[in-house]
Amino acid sequence: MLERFALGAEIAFQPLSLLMMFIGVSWGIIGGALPGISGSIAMALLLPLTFGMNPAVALMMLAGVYIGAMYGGSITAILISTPGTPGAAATVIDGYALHKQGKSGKALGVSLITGTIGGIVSVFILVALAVPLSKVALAFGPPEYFALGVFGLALISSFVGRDLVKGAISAVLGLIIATAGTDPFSGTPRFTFGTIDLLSGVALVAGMIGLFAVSEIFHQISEGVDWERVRGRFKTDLPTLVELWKLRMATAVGIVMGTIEGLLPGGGGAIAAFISYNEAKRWSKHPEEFGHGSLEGVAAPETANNVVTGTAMIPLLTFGIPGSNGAAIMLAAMLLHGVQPGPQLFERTPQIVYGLFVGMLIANVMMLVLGFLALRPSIAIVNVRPPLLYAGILALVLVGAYSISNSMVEVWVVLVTGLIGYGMRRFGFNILAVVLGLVLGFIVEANLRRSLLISLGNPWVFFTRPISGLLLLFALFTLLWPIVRQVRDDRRARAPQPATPTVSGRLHG
Amino acid sequence: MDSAVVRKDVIAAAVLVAFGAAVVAVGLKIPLGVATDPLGPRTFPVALGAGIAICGVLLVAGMLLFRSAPAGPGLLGDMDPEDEAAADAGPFSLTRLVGPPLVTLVLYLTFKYGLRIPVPEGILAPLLSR
Repeated sequence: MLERFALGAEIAFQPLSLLMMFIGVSWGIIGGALPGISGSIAMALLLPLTFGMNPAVALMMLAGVYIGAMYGGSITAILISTPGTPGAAATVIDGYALHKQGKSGKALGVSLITGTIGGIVSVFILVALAVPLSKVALAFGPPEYFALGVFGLALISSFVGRDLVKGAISAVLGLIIATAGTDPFSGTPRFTFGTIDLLSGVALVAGMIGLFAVSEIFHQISEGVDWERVRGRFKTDLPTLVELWKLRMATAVGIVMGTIEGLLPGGGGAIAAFISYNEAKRWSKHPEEFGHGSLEGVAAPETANNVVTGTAMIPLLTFGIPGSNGAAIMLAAMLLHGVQPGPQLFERTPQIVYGLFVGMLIANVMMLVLGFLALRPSIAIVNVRPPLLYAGILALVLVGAYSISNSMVEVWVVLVTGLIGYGMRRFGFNILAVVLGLVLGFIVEANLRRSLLISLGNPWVFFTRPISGLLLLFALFTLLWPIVRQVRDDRRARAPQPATPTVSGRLHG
Repeated sequence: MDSAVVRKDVIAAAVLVAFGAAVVAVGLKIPLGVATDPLGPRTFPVALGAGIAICGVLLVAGMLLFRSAPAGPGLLGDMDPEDEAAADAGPFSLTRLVGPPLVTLVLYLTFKYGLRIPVPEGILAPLLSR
């Protein structure tokens, strides 16, 4: 393994790689600071520009964007109580309170240093888990991959968003879009409507950019989203070693929660941040300070959402199933560069995987330095009026979409999927489930058909193999649990409420 | 229930049923494929189209059946008291820590020793071979 790390380091320390990571982290911090432009959208905007790059360098740059955005989101969360990324939503609670007490610099410093610690630890967790898991994944056959795809979709449908049916609809819609194109087994065209452009299917990269970025921008425009301007000058103020020692429990909680949530498809930074905030409050010696400017209330969520950057890569690299929106963009990047994620990735292209590991370590260290330097440019961009900002971002998106293959088809795909995504947001549907369906569609269908081919049409093959049986069982439980809970809630709501004694009754008691 | 929400869901359901029907109609025109391929290129898209139409119906049915209950807890909280109590138990509660590994172990033992089906041991292989 050491030779592989040496190979990865050789690529990561090249001047071009360092430059690309520098650009990635800088853009990630600035993009992440913009409310509504999450880490995944910042990555999606840069994705078309990676075409033509060495795959390892492209992935390192995008990982840098993802990592930088986690800190960037906390800048506006602390200064104007508006999270730049979903993962920074929990940071608003105590971060903004600290800002009102004149301690913005300390809050930014705690966010930066604990985020860096979380990010670096996440790379070690990534290496520790991904490499052995890839060996387990070698035992996976078509039934297991089908079951894993179904489990991932079931998790996203059930746990992201408020409605299981809408989550399932979103996932199925993504699967339907993925069937368009040429059938990989028989070569039969499906849903191409006679056009050559659709023979290779809906462009995944363009679709993801449309669904994530364009739909979000349309949504913000239609809602008239605006935010407070950042006034005054601010300086990041790192915590002292004593202060950092006092934050050790909050940081540890963030690491644990970020690891668990990052491993689950759909977990993501936002869930990890809130859960770690709640747990840090429970384990804190001063829980009464939470909500009123507690540094622990900043440290825990910021650590968690930075840990997710590494742990969300684990299911992606080992099984090809993205664990978060950012990981979904990484998957699109891999496919764009002809890199197939999964256990063979570690054997066939170790320079890419180990280069990514080393690159993520470097990117986290860069974030620590750039966190100081990028504060003023981030604030300057945040203070730009939203109409100008959105016009600029849309222009970037469309130019980027065209550059994928110098064709207007991708531009249309971006616009159409952007409109579809916008409509879905308005009606309360789950965009991540659509993206995951789009990404997993081929894996699910191809492995379903392969499994039935191998078993000569016997569907019990999925249940007589232990791993696929277990995964399908978990998927079923994941889908049934919200229904059981809804039935229970409905019965409770309809049950007659017990009569409560009136005040006069008590007085005359 | 909020009438605006009800109206949105009814519109969404209608669109979904129509879309699902369209997918099924177009999907049925896809050739069946070869005899050795049990599903062929047609089955998956047609099943998905039917599935989405059914989900559209379920959307309205769920709205009618569960109209007195609030929507399930969202991503960022709004837990009911029982769930809050469960969450208060923390991530280290017995059910959360023991449940999934216990189920996995039971299934592993069932397949290996009960059904006698070979189970890939993966990362546990060095430990189990001792």
